[in-house]
Amino acid sequence: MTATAPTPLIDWHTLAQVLYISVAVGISIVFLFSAGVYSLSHFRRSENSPVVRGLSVTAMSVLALAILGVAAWGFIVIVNK
Amino acid sequence: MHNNFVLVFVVLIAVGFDFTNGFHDTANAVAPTVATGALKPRTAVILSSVLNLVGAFLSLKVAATVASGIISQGSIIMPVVIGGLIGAIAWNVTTWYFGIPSSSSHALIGGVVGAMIAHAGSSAVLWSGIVGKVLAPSIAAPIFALVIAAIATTLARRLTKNTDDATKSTGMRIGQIGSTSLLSIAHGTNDAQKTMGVVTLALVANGTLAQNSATPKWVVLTCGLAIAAGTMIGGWRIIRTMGQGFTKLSPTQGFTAQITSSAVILTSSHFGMPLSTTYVATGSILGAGIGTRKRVVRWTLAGRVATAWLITLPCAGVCGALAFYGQRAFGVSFGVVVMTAVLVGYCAFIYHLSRHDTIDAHNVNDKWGEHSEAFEQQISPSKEPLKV
Repeated sequence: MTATAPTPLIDWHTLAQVLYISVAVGISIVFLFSAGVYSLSHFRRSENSPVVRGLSVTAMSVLALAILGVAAWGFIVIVNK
Repeated sequence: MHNNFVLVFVVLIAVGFDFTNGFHDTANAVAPTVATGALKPRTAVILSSVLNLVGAFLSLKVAATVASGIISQGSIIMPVVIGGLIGAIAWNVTTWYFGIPSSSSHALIGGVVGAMIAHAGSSAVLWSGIVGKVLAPSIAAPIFALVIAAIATTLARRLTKNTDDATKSTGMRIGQIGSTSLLSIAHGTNDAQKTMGVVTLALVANGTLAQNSATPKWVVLTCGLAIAAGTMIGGWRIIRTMGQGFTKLSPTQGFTAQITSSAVILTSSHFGMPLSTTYVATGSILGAGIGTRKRVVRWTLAGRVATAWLITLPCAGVCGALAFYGQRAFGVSFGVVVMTAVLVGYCAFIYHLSRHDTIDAHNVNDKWGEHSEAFEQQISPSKEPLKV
């Protein structure tokens, strides 16, 4: 004889998942975007330093791609709901 | 003929609800964008409106249920749906006048629950569903958003400490436009479908559509256009409360608030636990205020808004129950006409009141306290300064 566990009134598990992933996604995007803004700012300031400019452009490109990826994920979530 | 007469009114009232849903929730996506000047107010609202319309067409997996898991589906009759919609519209219009960002979904649930109690008694309400699907997420949503936005704002502020103001300001504003767009699409998909579900349910109940039929294209188009038109009108009073009332938003705060809202709303959608967009957006803005060095937030206003959230369900419920009793008193067909007339009269009255101190695209960003701020005036005449 096995007793079926009663369905919990509040779905704590899903709520916790929402919290963890929202924290990870939200803070990651803000981190990436802020780092991109920081790189852009350095790119603009260091007009005569090709190394810094190159690094800044690379950083900005990688961050832009990452942000576009996250935006695409958001779009897919909306469409597949 | 008799049924078709009532059906026409159900569709009209549902579209009316969709319209109020649009202008009531415009603020969720655009308030920080408008407050920080990332877009001009009218431009922000038009962008949001167009993307709401796009969102309405993106996904058609409509859950054709009204307050599913919250009331006994077998007991739903047309006057309950009508009562619920009328209650929700009445509450939406009232909270709009006072500039309160309250949940349109909760207003609809409250209205339907109230009408259902009037129809079949409280036993037809699944109270465990109310706790699990409405109350718990309502408490969790703003807390999640507040905590994440506070951390994100602190992080962004520290990371961009040594960047020049022009780059920071422009960069963050561009980010805001992206997040506003994503939020608007998500809103169009979520909320337009809610009304599509109501209309489809009415068509099935009337025998116009067979069970499990796909949502007709005219329903999708009508609901999409209604929510887009509502968004285009712009709920300027609520935009003002969210953009200027809670805190003074910088582009960095506006960006972190909107990214937080997008992350929480999309993640919760992904896990099938849609949280109220309004509560998430409000929590994010408060969190963005806390994340600043001086932690500048008008807590009294936030407390009043939270109180309004607590009374949304019961108040919309009372309106829904009254609308149900009204229909029953006059008979179904004539009752629908009478209650629709009462609703239109009430909306006209509220609109007339709002004309005494119009908030629109031109003055939405005026300093807090320069207008009547109807919500604050009704409760306390004081204009609370920002607490530092």
